[in-house]
Amino acid sequence: MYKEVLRTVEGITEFPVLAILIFFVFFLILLVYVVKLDKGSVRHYAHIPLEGDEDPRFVSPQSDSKP
Amino acid sequence: MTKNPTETIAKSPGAGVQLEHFSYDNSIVRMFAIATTIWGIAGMLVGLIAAFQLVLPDLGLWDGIGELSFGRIRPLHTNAAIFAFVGNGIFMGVYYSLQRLLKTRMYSDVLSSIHFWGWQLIILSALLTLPLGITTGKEYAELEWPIDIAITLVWVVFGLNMLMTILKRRERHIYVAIWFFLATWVTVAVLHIVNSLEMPVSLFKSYSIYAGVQDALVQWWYGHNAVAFFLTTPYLGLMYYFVPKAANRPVYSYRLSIIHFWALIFIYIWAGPHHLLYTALPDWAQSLGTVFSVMLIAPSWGGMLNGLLTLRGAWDKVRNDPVLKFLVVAVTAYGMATFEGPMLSIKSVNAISHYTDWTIGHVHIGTLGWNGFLTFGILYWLIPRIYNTRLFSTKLANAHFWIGTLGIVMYAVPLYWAGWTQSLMWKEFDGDGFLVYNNFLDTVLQIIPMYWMRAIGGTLYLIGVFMMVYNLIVTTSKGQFVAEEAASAAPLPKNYVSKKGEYWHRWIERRPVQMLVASLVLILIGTFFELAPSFLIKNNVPTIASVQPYTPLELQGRDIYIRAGCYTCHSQMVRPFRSETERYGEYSKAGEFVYEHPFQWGSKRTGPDLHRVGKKYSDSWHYQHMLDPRGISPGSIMPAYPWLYENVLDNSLLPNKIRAMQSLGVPYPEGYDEKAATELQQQAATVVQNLQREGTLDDNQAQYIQDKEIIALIAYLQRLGTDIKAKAEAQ
Repeated sequence: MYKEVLRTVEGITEFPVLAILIFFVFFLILLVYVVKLDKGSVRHYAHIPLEGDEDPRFVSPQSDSKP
Repeated sequence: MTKNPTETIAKSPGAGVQLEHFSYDNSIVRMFAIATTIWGIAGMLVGLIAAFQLVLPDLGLWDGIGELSFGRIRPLHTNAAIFAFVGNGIFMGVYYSLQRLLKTRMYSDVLSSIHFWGWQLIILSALLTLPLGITTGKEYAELEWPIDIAITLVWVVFGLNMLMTILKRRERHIYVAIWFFLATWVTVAVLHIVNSLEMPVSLFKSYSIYAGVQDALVQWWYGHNAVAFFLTTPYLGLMYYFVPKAANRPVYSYRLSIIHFWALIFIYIWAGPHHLLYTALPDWAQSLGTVFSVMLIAPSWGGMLNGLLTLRGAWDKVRNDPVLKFLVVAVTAYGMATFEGPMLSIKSVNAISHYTDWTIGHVHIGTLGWNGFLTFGILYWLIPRIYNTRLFSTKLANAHFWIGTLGIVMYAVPLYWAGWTQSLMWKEFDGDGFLVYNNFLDTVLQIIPMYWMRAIGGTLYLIGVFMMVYNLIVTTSKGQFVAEEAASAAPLPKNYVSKKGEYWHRWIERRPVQMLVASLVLILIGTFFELAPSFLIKNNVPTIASVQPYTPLELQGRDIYIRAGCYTCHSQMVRPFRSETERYGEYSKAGEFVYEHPFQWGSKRTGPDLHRVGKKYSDSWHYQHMLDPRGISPGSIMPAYPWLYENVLDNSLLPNKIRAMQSLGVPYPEGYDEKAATELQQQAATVVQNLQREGTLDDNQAQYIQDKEIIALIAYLQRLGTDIKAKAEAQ
């Protein structure tokens, strides 16, 4: 039954083109978003894995990137 | 929610911020670390056995033991490497990083435990069933239906534990590594369920509900995305956590990681058909696979560069730190494999590479380099930390790095060479238009030295792993295991107020369920448009009137073929090249496979294609060849199958099999399940008569062999690809 339903959808063969267009639009919006992200937030997100590295034995002495 | 006894709330004196004190569960991390190491060694050992079987088929260690024959060992190797070694590696990394990225303990220790033991039981059941020949016959999805159900349940436990942990987090933003974990979880669930839809015949036997071209498309949608979402995305998540940790640098570009994530998961899912170029798959699907595979290079390399550039300003540390060495080579191997993948998806390149050892070299750059080295790097980084000590020997770890790297090079380069060499030999014509290497075996003998080098490369790699195990065991003996690692963090404010002008992505970044749904929608788009047309549009698979279902004896023979894992070395897909039609016969048509549950097109030709082998040789040739391949073809590396001449063909499931096939749409007449056994006996008698007439069997031998498995296998092999020949003869 579901095959019948899908087969009768008009222009279903064009759907892959539509899918890629949707993705490109999504991609462009994403691009604009990441470019406009504010620096402070990005810096915070990027440093999340580095939080809690208190043990001095494991922290490299040359490190200069911790906030 | 499980209340953790170690989790208490206390006020930080004088700070004005209420800190919660809790502990991270390192026990589960250690359990998965041990599991990935043990299964890694087991999987690599099995791989080595397979590698040596190809160069020493006569060694005697595996002669006459069906459980150890190449066709069963090879699926055991791939399953162990992917699901046991890499699988446990993923869980080790996820359970370590997730707790710390979210500043909370895992949601439930019980779920963690069920996940761990459930997964190990699944691996154990694979270890038992695959050598016994209990297999679905679909690559990387060989495990039978009860195990498939167990995988689904354990996967749900893992997902639930992860999601609930995210929900009780103390860090508002969900770090990018976790997005990769979530996408992995949801996509693997979809892939596993859709590809594993089977019609059970008994507890240990089932047939894929898809047939032929459709089964191939579903299988390679699964196979390709198992690489994508089991071997790649979770490890990318681990890369985004452990590379910054090891380098003590934040990720190079968090912005790039956002693009990397969404682009990768969207594009990856479409690329599966590149495994089926020049096959009977409809052309539009092949082109779709190629286009998306080439596009895939952008997000893949974006991610690789993001990983490598994280080390900017820290490259001097790579010289001394073995952890960074492993991570750098892992990410570089990822870059190499993801450059090579799109190249291999270009049809003209694929025409050369497909079915050859090039593919084997390619995937081992990925597994040995990317997955293996990233796992080792994480183990070297993580074990000293959870044991509150330093690594026992940096020198030994460096030695492991070098011997491992040499092992990868020694493994992959000879196989690239072998792939090129063999493919060019397959395609070489002389001045008169005849194949120069008409005998397939000539092209195999040419690459045996490369197989030797591969086996040595693999041995070196495994020696490195043993060095690591020693190093880590001594490390643990010098430290003290910290099962509960104390931590503290401020709770999230209950009422979060969005900042003004906040973008939608910020919204989704702190909502795991919505993130999960968004990932699901994105991968379902590709899935739908890739799979649906082949199921919906009839003229994708033109029917051929002369193509008939298998006879009962042939069906039984086919099940023996599947049980023996013949598809690991033989394809059943003649591509439309002159070099192939000259060698094998008419190229394969989509309509020829409509009753093939599951399809057996294969992906590698260690031996020749078999799609047109039917009626090419006499029954006696097959009889002798399966018993003593080297007696018929001197130098052949095919194993002998003596047990087929001793095992009585088990027909007890035959009526079930016929009924299962009927329910899948194979047009056996009504009530045929009851007649099948009689017809089977009649056909078996005919095969035996042929063998007698050809002088292979005397009367006593004929009497003995009539009910043995070999007769069914011969019947199946003689049927292969002959339906369209029958049509030609009739015309």
